Parts: sequence; C-alpha cells; structure tokens
Amino acid sequence: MASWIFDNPLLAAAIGCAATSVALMLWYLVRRPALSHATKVVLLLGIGVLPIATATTGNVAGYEATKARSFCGSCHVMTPYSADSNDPRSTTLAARHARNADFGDDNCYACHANYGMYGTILTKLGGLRHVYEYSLHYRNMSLAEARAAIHIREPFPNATCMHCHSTQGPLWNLVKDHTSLLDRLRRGEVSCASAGCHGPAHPLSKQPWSAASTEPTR
Amino acid sequence: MTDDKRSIALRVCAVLTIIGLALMVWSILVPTPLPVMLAMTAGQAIGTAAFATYLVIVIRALRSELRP
Repeated sequence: MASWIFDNPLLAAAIGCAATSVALMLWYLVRRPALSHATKVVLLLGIGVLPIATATTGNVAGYEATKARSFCGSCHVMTPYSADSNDPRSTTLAARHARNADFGDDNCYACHANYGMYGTILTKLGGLRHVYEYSLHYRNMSLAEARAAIHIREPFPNATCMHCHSTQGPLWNLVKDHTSLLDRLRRGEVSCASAGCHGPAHPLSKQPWSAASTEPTR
Repeated sequence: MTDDKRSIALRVCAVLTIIGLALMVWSILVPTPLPVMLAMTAGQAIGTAAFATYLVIVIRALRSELRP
C-alpha cells in the first residue's frame, strides 16, 4: 500500500499534510499551552492551512479515484462488468476498450461519462444517483437478481463513441457499413453498440426498458 | 469568553480537525464510494466547522487584546 501511495505525489502530499496536522493537534491536546501568538500560529497551521491542503489534494485524488474501474467494481453488482473488462481474453466492446492504453483503467468512466461543458458535473451527479440506488435498492441483492434488475438508464448515445471515433477519419470511412449508416449513426437511430455492429458492450448487456425489466430503469 | 472556555473550544476544534482528517485519509487509503463521499461531505464539513470556530475564537481574542 505504501508504494502505491508514494508513487502518486498528490496522495503523498495529502497524507503528509494530514499527518503533520494531526501531530500538531495532538501536541496541542497533550501539552495544553497558553494561547500565545506562537500557539495561534501552530493552530492556524494545524486547523487551517494543513487540513485545507489535505482536502484540496484529497479531493483531486478522490475525483481521480472515482474514474477508476476498481472504483466502479467496488459495488458487488458491478463485479461481472469489471471482471469482463479485466479479462484479457474477453472480446466484448468494454474489454477491448479496457486494453486501450489511453484510458485502460478508466474505461468505465471514458464510455459512461457525459461530455461537454457540464459533462463532469452531470457525471458526478449520476454517480451520486448510483450510490443512492445501490444503498437503498441493490445492496443486498444477489448477482443473479441484480443481473435481471439493473438496466442502463437510457440508450447509450453514439455521441459518446464519436467523442473518440469522429466518423470523419479515412480509415473509419473505408468500412462500408459505416458510410452507408453514417447519417443514421449521427442521428442516433442506429447504435454503435448494437448486436449487429460492435455490441453488446458487456457480456450481460440488455436493451433498456426490455420486457425482462420488472421495475423502472435506473 | 474566558480563557478556560476558549481553551475548551480550541480543544474541541483540535478533536474535530482530527476526525475530519481521519475521514479524508480514509478516502485516500480506501477509495470506494462510501469513504470518498463521507470525506467530501462530512469530513470537509467537520474541518470547515473547526476552522471557522478557531477563526472566531482567535479574532475575538485579538480584538479583546487590542481594545484599550
């Protein structure tokens, strides 16, 4: 664990600031010095400056951690999806993207994030909804039950694919199916991740709002 | 505010700071949804409350020192 932390300067800085602050607070609690100017400065460092530095670096590290596949897979109902991405022999769309060095460990986030001006905020709000739904509805569900109950909230937008695959590159346009479906792909009438094309994205993928759904999609 | 009350309030601030920092460090060591959310909400709220209380105490102390 130590090497994992100290390989990342941000995490090391956060923990260093927190440790220094705790040491100052313990010194104050044990020694109980008078409130002199020196004590005020020590308390300013221990209660103000160092915790703010810890919170700032910790927030950045936290936001980065929420992009990792291991974070998504930490809820048990997501383990089949993360296990598929971790499987080097899997040929699903998600697994093939996980093997892309550009965003391999962050492949859940890269494909399920919102993009645009408010993309990050909308993605984080969506993540909060996931935690809410998991805590109240799926926490005690078996994997078999979760597999039937969990659906993608809305159809996967082609715009997310086109964030990287612009549909304008010459190699992309060499594929006849791409050129013949170009307008429908851009309008979102045909999904890149549909079964006849590049999908399904996950081994457990199913259409949203399918007949198998027993409750509103989440 | 008497010196005793000031001292007790600052000790409470110190304890709150340690609790807030513990939540933040927990989220760094175990980056799963619950610790991360607790650190970014409760951890920061506790830390902010401690710092605000410290500022109120110190500003009041300084004002009473400067008062003729």
